[in-house]
Amino acid sequence: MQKFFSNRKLVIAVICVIIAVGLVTLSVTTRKKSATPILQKVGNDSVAVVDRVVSYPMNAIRNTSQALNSIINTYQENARLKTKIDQLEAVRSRSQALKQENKQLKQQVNLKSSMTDYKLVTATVISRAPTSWQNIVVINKGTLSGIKKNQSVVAGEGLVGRVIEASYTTSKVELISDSSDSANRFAIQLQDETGKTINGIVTSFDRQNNEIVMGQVTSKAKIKKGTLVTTSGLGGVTPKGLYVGKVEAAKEDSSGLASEIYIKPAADMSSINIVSVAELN
Amino acid sequence: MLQSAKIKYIFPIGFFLALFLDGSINLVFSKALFAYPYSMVSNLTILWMILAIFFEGETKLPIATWAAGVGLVFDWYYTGVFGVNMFILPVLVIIVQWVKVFFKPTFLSILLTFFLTLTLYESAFYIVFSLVHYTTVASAEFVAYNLAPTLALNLCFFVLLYLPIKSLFRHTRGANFRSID
Repeated sequence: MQKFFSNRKLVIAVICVIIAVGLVTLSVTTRKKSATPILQKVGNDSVAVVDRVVSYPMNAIRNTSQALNSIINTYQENARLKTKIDQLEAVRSRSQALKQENKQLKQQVNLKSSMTDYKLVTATVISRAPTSWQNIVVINKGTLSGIKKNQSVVAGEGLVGRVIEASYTTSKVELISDSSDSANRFAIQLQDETGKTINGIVTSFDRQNNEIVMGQVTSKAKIKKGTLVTTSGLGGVTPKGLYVGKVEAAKEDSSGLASEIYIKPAADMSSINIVSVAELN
Repeated sequence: MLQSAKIKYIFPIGFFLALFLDGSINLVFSKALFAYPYSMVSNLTILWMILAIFFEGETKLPIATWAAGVGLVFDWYYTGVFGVNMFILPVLVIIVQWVKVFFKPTFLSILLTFFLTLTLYESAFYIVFSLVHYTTVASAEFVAYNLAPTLALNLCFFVLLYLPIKSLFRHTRGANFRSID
């Protein structure tokens, strides 16, 4: 007995392993809950204060280099964008008319809010976790701005991920390019050639080609390349109509029973600086 | 005359600075670092830790304790999964401290130690995360697309930062020990 207990290092090592396993298990279970614990929120925010100070010069460098880059491209971009503006105006006026009509129709059927009623909260990315196989970014808005766990995050044109942890003034966002089992699956939809809607979920991410995979599609309908894919609002967490990307290809999966649809994401997942969090009304 | 060792204060500040710089570098250069399918991350934290172990001289910094603290902040702020870095980092420190007495601390030997430690760190980190199913990157993919580019990037950082950090430690670790390499 004496000898066993004299081997203090072994005992300490075993205790450490037990604590580590316990902490990991605890973290995994708290991540599944709908809110982040207060202690974790406070810690996240206080660390973020230091991080903001440290990253300030880095961000200054980034902004300057971006500004320089855009100056070089300005002329060509301007010419290209001018042609787009006219089209956009037409689309905008039409969208306004449709919105108005939609509102009136909703009033008529006494529908208070549906999955397309959401507002966007804009946030800046302040840090990116130094883990190469898991893509997490930290943004500078939290529960004080109305952000909640599990809300969808959009960057520029398209869907990029979901809030996994919301503190008071910061939040963690897991990107859609993270194909882990625990990543929440987004419900998405698209139209086939005949106009029928095909529903499905994001099942994985193809890192080789940088494409989102929508698996287990049982419909045998022909899908055209370039079809727009949006979120479907099924499940009640993600709003309806967030742009995901365009169809790149549809293939049979390895079992041959269902097909897989490969989607080119609209957002550039490798560099994300400003995001918008979609809050359902 | 014995100068007070400023490194006692500089070391922890540098440690946390490295941690936040990692996050910042990954964000600022994300376009270059995360060019799919490859993804590399900067690991200045590990670099600082390893160099401190070799250059601390006889100042005897509490590196393992600080490593646990930095690991805790890492888990808290970046991943939200506690108990991963908090234990991996101090264990790595203990291993390196135990190994370092067996060879002379030259540039190449420290480089090699850094290389092995980083491999160990990334692998341990990855293994824990795949155990809890927070990543489904296959191990072959991990080695080819994540580990190898990350090692390459950090070896570049090592080569660039070796001499500056060495001279920083030499000038701040107390006057009596400057003669030691």
